[in-house]
Amino acid sequence: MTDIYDEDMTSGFDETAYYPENISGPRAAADQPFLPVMPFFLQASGLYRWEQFQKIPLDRIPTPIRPLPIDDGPMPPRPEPGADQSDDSALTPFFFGSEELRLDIDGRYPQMMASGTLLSRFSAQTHWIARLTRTAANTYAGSIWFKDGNTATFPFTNVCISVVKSIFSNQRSATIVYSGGAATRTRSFGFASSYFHTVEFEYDNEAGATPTLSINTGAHPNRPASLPVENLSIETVYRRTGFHAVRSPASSTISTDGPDANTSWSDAEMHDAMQVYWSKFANKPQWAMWVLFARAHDIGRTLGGIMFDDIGPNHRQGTAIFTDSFINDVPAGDANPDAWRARMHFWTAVHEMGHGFNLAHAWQKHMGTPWIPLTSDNEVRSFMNYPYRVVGRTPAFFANFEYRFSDQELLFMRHAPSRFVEMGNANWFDHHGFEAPSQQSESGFELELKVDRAKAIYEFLEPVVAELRLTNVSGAPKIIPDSVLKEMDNIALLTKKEDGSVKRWQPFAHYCIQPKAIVLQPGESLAESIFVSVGTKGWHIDSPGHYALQAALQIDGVDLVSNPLRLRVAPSRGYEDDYVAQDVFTDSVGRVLAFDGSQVLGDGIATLEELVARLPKSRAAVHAQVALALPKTRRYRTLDVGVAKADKAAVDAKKIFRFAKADVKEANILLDSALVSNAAAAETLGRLDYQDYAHMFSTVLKKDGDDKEARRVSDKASQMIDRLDGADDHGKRLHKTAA
Amino acid sequence: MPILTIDLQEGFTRDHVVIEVDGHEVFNKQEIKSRMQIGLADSTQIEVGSGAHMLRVSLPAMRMSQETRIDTTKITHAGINRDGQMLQIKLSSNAFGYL
Repeated sequence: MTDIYDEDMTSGFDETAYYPENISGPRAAADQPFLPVMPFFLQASGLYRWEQFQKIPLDRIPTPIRPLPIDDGPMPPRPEPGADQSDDSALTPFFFGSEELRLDIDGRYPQMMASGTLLSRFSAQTHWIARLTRTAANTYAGSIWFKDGNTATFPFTNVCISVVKSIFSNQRSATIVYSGGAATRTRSFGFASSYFHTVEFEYDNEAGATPTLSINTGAHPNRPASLPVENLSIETVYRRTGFHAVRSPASSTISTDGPDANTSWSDAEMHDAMQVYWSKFANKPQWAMWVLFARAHDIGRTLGGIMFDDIGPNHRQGTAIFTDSFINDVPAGDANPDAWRARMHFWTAVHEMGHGFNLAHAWQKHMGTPWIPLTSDNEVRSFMNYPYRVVGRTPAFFANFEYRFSDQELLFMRHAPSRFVEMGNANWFDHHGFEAPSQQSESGFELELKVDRAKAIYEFLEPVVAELRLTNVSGAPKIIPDSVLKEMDNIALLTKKEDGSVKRWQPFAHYCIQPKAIVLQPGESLAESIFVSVGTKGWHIDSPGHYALQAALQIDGVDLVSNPLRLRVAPSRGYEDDYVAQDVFTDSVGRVLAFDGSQVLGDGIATLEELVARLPKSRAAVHAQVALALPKTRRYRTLDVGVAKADKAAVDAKKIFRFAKADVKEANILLDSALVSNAAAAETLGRLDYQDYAHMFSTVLKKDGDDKEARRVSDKASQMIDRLDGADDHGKRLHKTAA
Repeated sequence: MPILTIDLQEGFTRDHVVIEVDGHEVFNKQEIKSRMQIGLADSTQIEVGSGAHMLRVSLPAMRMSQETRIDTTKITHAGINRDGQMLQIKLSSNAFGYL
């Protein structure tokens, strides 16, 4: 049977306006009229969109003036500055921003919520959710209870939404008045879809594993009396959840020949198969999922299905259902074994796909890092609860089951920031950051990632220096290599942006160190600073927004995972910031900062000099001044080859080390400005690096015969360190006694 | 002889788990971690005599343990869950299913 509720057979005509999904009572699809007779109920729920495009001249960026040839002919008229170009081809549509509204007030399982996403070309995404009540005909109002992303530019606390309904989709609209937070703004949206997102499912099956993609809800006698009898497909379940679910035409059967035809699947094999066989596979977030119906998993008959894709960088793209498992085992004496079996296979498929949407089991809602505080419910009749786990077990579950997700789950799928839900985006079971830190006490060590400030908020352009600290939390002394935090080969440091992208940080330099064994007494720590902002994979922290960092270290064969360190980079302060930013986030500037200076990377040095000149009071200037000063404190050796690097023979013949003279006077001016005059120096450089730089500066002054200035620098540095947050709780930087 | 299946289910976070039956160690593994999507971390099966046995599970590093008596003429499956600082043992005559 065809479910005519879900067929889009008309253009510009919204069939869901005629066929509301919240009609109760039995109805068979074949009994419904093919075309509507009367519009008895018009819906407003769905996706609305506003977009702003503006046409701007292609040549707005000034080009160099070229001399014109002297010609007797008339000069073409020069357009007035700012005048509109009459030739429209000289203009290009320029995307300024868009807003989406998800209105959830009627239709199937209305949550009385509205959520919005603001996308801007110039700033990070903003997401909000408001709880609504109906205040008048076609008017809804409520307060915003959830904000995510760039909330600084979105001060509003309330919304009032008025909707225009129509049987014609192009005549439907919604208008929001945002208020609260000292401002009011009105935005009108056009109707885009009755669904909140579009998602594609590809079903493939191993030969011998028959996929169950739809069932007759009336086939088994154990069901709610009010349950509509219908042919229900997986896509229909997800459409009622709010997704325009479509089936990929590429679905097919995978044959397994030969003596290994009956072997079970491992997670790795399924993950490999997904990459090879799924027509839509891509290592990126996308609203698409691969569903494999297979015979059995390595775990055995007790595993009925699994969302196996928690491997690699893009989780939750693939899921599997095992037909030769306990979901095939009909209880003895069941009234309709075939219907029981089909229902269990169908239920399992929707359940596993629910994990692909990042839904946890009903009893796990409070665990891990939920997107909002959630409550577990062991008895809820949802696709995400086990039927045999409720009181009264499977018969009791299906006696009250309406083939739906819980309200809590619908709220998440429809209204949570899409990166939490979209397949391949946020990691499985992770709505906010990395995995929760593991219990570390077993190894006797604790790994901590921290910054030397009360709130981890950074100025735009300010480099992030974090401190990695290893503490002996056991009751006995521990012997470790003194280089354990210096050898980055043992350490994995991940940075995650709020858009979900995760990068492994790799330093520019790797040290090969002859390790010494040192004793770490109970409660003692080793600490090392990490210049997190940039590494060999480029800049990790280069734009305003939220970031999460987490480190892992292997010690004594045990993986230690640090706390997730969350930080925020503030928006640009204006023109000067934006101007300098164009040149700062480059490889050469990154290298000059990471190596504390250079005499060779001229463009990086020039950028830092400009940064200091334009933004002298900024925290970024402290880093720049240190990097500019340190090479000047000593005779600086550079390798001069004098010829093109490609010509190796010539290089070998001509290469020579040259020394640049120290410029202690200039270095002292820069270091004094950075380390002594700027009150934020210790905080932005980090306690460990600041101590080293101050000690170095003091030593240079002493060597130069200025003992008085050297003492002043030392005293000032001590004061700054004492003012840092948590100053009494210091780890040691490789200042341990060898065992 | 009956086979006793012991499943380590929810709540394990890279734990060191030791299982003993009648004082004999039958399972000792580090890094036991629950896979949240199926609610299972690890599983072991042992042949035991028909009748009463003492099952003991412990997390030495966490100083946690729990024990229960099992009559294998009726019970052949034990599911162990960790809820924070507590260990719970569920008993069943049927295999646990995971989805």
